[in-house]
Amino acid sequence: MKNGYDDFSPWRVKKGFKVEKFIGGLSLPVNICFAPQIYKNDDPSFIYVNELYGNVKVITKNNNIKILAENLLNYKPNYQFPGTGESGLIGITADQKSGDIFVSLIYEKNGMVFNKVINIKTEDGLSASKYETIMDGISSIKAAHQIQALTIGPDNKLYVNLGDGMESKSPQNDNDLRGKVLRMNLDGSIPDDNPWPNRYVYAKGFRNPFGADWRNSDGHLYVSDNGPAFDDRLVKVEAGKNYGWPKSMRTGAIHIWERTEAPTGIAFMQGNQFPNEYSDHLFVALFGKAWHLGITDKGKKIIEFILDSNGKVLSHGLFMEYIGEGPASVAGLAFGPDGLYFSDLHGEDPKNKHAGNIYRITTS
Amino acid sequence: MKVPDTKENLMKCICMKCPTHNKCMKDNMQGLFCARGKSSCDFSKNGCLCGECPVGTDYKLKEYYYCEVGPAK
Repeated sequence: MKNGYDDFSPWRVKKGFKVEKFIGGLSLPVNICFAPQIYKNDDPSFIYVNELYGNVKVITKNNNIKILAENLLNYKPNYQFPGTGESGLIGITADQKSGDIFVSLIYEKNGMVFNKVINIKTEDGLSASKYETIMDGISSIKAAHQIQALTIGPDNKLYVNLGDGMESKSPQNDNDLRGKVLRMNLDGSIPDDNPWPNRYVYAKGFRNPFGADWRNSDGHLYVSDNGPAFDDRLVKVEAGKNYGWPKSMRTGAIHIWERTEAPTGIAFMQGNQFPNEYSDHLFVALFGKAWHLGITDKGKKIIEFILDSNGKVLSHGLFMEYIGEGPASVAGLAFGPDGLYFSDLHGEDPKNKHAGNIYRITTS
Repeated sequence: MKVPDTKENLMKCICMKCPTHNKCMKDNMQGLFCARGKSSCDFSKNGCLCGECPVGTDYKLKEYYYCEVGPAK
């Protein structure tokens, strides 16, 4: 190990690349985002990562782990995978201008479960100075299908992926925000130019849309959406469009996994982290089964997609796969300044609740 | 789509692994709710595996918690 990087990796990646452990010792790291470089510290923040059971941690430039916010859940989680243990603090994104951090999570009130979005303000990028709930009161469930990814679009609006809460009627119910992608101002108010006036809904008909990223070349949001026992999909999201669930997961899909693989994080290569021929390629994490040791028949992979200018999939192929023996799998995915980073929710030791990792993929 | 209550489907059923499947359901040998109908037991919704079940794949099931809502139609 040198400079925090571990040479051993239980992941096999495409020729020309290498996978290194960037940081370990995390407890169920879900999603990651990169901190804006606006703070003047000796050891400034580099990555923000949310841990499923209520902490937001900072990985600094010098690979130190600090707690930005903790104990955000108001109930005791139970580590049940699959099941109630799969829920908690899921989405995270950082406003690169203000430094504000937005997280999505569930909470309990009067014995019921709800979704909410919190704006965490920080003055130094290392610790929270103020918490502000900008949206709450949306019914949820202690299981998957809760509030998911958060992204900030090129229009400086906050986009919120909201699962159907395991209520199959919710995605088509216009009085229910579940099963939708929402669009809001950064203070939680409804923008004047949303597709439906005075409503948060940007697009509807989703089931369990875990991942999201913006494609610079066409200005569109892309989303991964988990199907039932069949038909996971990738979607190019267009304002006001209905993506069909529960009638079909195929409506508006640009790619279907007929045999489900549980797509989680997605990320476009839009910088110079990889060679030029990878420019605008989409990388999609496949999580697989909720908790399974070793190599499995589903998931534990990253798939590389090549899209045309309209978002149609031209080709796709395996980019990385798991070859270890642990419960490890890929959840969050994001390009940093020097490579593709991913979170590994469970890590290598099934008995250790702090075995989660962040890995980095770079050219070899 | 209706799900036949067959031995073949029972063998594929993963209700017993579901976090919602509780002691009462086990004691009463309850499962394959998508074919046999809702459970007579009291239970808490602790998550639903119907979406991961091979029976769900075969019959293109879209609902959740067949133990609560009754058989697929």
